[in-house]
Amino acid sequence: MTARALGWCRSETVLPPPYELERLGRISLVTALPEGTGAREVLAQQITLERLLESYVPTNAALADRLEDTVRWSSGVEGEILDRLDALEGKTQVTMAFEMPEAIEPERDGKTWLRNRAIHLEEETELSRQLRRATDAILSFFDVTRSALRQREKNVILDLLLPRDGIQGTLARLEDQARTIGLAQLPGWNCTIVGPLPAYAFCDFPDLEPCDG
Amino acid sequence: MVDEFKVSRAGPEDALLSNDRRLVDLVDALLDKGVVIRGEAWITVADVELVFLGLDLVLANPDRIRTKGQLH
Repeated sequence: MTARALGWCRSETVLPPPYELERLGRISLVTALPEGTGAREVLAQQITLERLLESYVPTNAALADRLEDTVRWSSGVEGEILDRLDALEGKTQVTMAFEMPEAIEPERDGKTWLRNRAIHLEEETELSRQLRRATDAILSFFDVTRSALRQREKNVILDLLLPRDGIQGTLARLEDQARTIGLAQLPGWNCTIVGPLPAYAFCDFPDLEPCDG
Repeated sequence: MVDEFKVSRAGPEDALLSNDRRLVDLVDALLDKGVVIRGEAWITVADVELVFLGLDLVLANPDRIRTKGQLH
């Protein structure tokens, strides 16, 4: 077995080539692409796959598991994967990245940076508060499940799970709301919205005990 | 500080193909997520394998693992 696992779907699913399905009871493991395929290529294939399926639990695109490990693990957690497939039915992920404003003045040297460190920390805390308030306001108009805000360097990431029906219209409304509220509440920030995506951020299995390898 | 607020929107394929730094960063953020069952990585320099990292049957997203300190 040398294919790459892309995720799980219900066993009754039929998919066209290049996808292959390994049936494991009431779920199927979707595979395609050779092992060792780059993360972005896997991501691209998972994005295409998401459009073909009503419900789909994606694997991580960057960390490739051995297919035999994935098959063995899947067989033991069929019920949990089915529950997750039910939860994701008709839903799709949209990800928003909020880029923090540039510092007012770049530091010229380490001494200045040290002196201003407390000020910067206060600024960042205030910016985080601003962003929490603004995202609450933006999302109050939508039927949405949201992740916590997570910071990656200068970006703060927010993942949303939205109904798949009418997603292009929803994205347009989300962009409008973000612009309206952002202009008033997030001066100096930039916001990037990408979707629809596989529900990467909503596929955690925190309650499962590790299995023997 | 510029007091503007800029919003841009892209489809997933455009984001994947883009060289725009913001879209590249957002796609990188997606690579943190999704189900990881068993992670293994060899850190290799000039074809010499230096360190083996094994994450035995991890059942959560990588960011959760880091916060719970479950890395082996």
